[in-house]
Amino acid sequence: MKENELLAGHIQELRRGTVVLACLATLKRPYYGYALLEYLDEAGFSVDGNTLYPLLRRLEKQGLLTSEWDTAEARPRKFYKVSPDGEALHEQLTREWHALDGAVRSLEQGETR
Amino acid sequence: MSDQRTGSTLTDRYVWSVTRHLGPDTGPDVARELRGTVLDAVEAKVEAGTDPDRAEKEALTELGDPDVLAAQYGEKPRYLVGPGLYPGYVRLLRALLAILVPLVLVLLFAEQFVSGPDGFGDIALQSVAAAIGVTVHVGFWVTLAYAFVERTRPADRQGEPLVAWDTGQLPEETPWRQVSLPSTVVHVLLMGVVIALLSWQFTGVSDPATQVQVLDPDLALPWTVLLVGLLAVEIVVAVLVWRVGHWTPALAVVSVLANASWATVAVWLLVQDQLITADLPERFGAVFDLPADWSVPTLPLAAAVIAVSAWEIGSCLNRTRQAALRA
Repeated sequence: MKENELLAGHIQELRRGTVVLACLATLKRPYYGYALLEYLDEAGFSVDGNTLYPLLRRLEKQGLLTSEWDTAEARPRKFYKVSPDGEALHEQLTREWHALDGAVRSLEQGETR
Repeated sequence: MSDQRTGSTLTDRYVWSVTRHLGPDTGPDVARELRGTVLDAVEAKVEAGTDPDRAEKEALTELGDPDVLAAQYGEKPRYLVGPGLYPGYVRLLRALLAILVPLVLVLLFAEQFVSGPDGFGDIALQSVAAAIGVTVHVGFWVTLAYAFVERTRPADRQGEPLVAWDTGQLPEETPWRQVSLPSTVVHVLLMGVVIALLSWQFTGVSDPATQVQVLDPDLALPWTVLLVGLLAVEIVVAVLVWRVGHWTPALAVVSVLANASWATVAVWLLVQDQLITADLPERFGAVFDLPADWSVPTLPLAAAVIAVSAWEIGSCLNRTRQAALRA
């Protein structure tokens, strides 16, 4: 029980920053909040709504996302899409991610050598 | 958004709770989006076969406390003093209290000296009240100032200290003493007060009408000398520990022996009914005009003596061990 909590805590810590990466990667196409949540969930990024929705607003405020209200349908929805700045950041973050992956791998190879 | 005056749904109430404190530029927009998001989530749950009322409750419960969510949307920190400012905040509090509390006490005593002293009890009461008053004021105003700074400085500076740390902020010297002068002084003063009280009681109070004779003045002289002498030994040990700078095994042995002997003698005299005057309830009642229908709680007193002594011995051994580890 205690070990599971410990594991869950560390996994959460490890995943915290990857939500931004996942959003930037997904929002090359426009999504509205709930649809993005479901999409990420299916893709294996289980995010809570109370984390994701404020995050989208923060990323928009930082100029990484743009948004547009679609009022054509019965329920108005706010669609988010990556801005050029967001795409640049996405590339950098992805590179960072691969660098980290490589670093972890080389650490583990060093251990087994 | 409904026009009806009554019957607002759970979702209405939730969205209102989240957005009521958000600014006019973001509040309505967040409300509109959040409402759509909740409806989406409810719809998905209903399609999966959940009862509509339960689906709404579940969807809102998953989003959690509206105030927490509002804080996520808002820019204002959710704490009074954040981790960036906290160390400086504590340092300032400590420094101010270390200066102001003694200063106020000195002023208080000076004022007493000038205007003619009140009784000892009055002075003690005023000192405690002044010390508490200063502490509360300093705590309140410093916290208020830091909370204000935390809320008004630019968002990208949040989480950083006010002044960047550098090695110049380190203390001038590492203190070679492991015991501080104030704690030694307090300890010695406290022991001195206890010795004074014991001597006063063992020689017999001068005026039984206003002073309570608690301890038995007829206790044999060797016992009284032993009880006072062992406390004097502890004063000497405290001063030596300060001079050496830390506890040593030899000093610890002396201190533990003195402590244990004092507790043994005191407890033995207590249970023999020799330490406390037999007519304490009557004497107490005579001074304070209270009924004398109680007896001296010998066993709880003995237990208290043993507990205090055990605690002192424990802390002495602990400090000795720490000193040995540091050496």
